[in-house]
Amino acid sequence: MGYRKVAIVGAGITKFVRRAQETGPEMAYLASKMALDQAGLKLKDVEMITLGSAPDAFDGVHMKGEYLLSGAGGNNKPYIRNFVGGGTGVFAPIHGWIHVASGACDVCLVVCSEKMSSCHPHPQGAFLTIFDHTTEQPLKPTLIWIFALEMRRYMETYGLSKADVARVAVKNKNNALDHPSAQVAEAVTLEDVLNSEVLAEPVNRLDISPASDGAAAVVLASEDVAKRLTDKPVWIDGVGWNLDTSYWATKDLYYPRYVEKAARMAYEMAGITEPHKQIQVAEPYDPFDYKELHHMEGLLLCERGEAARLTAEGYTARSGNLPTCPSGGALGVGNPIAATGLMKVIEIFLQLREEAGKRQIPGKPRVGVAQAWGDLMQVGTVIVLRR
Amino acid sequence: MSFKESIQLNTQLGYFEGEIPVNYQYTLGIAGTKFFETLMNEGQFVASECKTCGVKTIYPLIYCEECFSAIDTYVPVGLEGELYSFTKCYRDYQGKEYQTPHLIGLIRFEGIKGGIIHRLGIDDKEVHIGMKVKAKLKPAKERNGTLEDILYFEKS
Repeated sequence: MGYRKVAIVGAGITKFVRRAQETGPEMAYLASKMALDQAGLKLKDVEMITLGSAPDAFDGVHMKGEYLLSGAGGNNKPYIRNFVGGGTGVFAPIHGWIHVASGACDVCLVVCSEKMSSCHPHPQGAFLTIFDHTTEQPLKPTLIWIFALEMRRYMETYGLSKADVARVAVKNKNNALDHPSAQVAEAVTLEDVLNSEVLAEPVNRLDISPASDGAAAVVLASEDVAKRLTDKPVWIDGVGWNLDTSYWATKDLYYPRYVEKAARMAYEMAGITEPHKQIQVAEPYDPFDYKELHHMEGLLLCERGEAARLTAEGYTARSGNLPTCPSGGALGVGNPIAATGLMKVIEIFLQLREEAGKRQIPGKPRVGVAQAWGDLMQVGTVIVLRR
Repeated sequence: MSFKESIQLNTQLGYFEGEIPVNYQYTLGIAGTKFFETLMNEGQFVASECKTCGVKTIYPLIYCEECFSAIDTYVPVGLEGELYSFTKCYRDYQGKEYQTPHLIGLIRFEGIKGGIIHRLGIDDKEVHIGMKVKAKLKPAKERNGTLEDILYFEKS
């Protein structure tokens, strides 16, 4: 289709924590510098920069793109912020891909930084105004409410129990024990998740990822530059994104068709016709445990309604046929919104390079997919990587 | 055309009231903590110094904006600088008139990139660009490590 090949050649990630001493720009710097160092590049080698970050209301800083500019190395360079809510972390490298694949530049730095701890008493207060101001806000909804509606409808549609869903939280929080950035890694059991505090039925506390501070960055390069820099480039083979209606109550809550549309766009570009056979590792977005199942199905990694059974059978464990969230995911590593999605892309990058350390899955994986989701339960962002 | 251009108040239309019910606690950050702790404890400003390219910056940063090197060196700057620009302000951010106009200046320091914006305690007949100014701080025991530890800049 006339796109140039684009590779990831370096990645950096900070620890994810509930409250970082660092400011947003300081976190952005730490991740950016790590990514540049790994790529063997200096800032002067970077031609363009794209920055992903969640709503300004989290940080309490309007013009957050500009606020994070110098920490992301963007001073006096072509720099732009991108944003699609929770889908931002996977959209950011897609946006960087556009920069390089189009020929606009050869080296693009992609940075995601999020500081949710500034927001008091809780970032839920900032989420309130994503809802419609006349038909929903008067009820003072929380995100957990609407996810509870979605989770229950999903469970009802496929006859799933709470335990069927909670196994995802157990897997991911345990996987995160091996991730150096992890905030809420824990050797939890199924009983721990099922017995944790009920927040809004059927959602318990351990079904949910935490609010976090953290940053991540990757360096993208064109084919010639990538081959000069590394003998282990990881290629961006396909990208897709899609937004469904903002009137979220009109959607089929049991199936994320917007994720499927984004996945089909990415798979077509990557020449993937049988995703469950051709993809060896996946990082579906998992801010809630049921969302990993939801997204596995939307990503066409299994039949609809099958994801819970596959999880119970160990199919998605690191030792399984299709490991999902070997990083530990948002449920285990933490969820600094935009940085979470990029953390997932970085996990696939490391897995394909066989540099994931204790988290490394067996079998020399060649193709992986990372996905994020967000806005008002309406956006899917998908990226396919290949070594 | 549905725009109600002649309606002056939303209360004359169907409406719901709303708010974003949050407040913010902004961390000072690594470099910010160094600046404000030094201001509180030692009564002076510090700049960050890049050991790679030599650029000193106020307010300090943990990275060099010029060469992107990491910075963990801070150098004292004292309290004296030069008035780079100034303005006399008559109304606050809600449009309310100040009882007495506020004189606000941007102060720069020799050899340092960046500067400090603060109130000026200077007669507006005397104020001019390029004049030497010095920060007037709160007494040591009243300082708490914030921008308000600086009362204003005065003629030095």
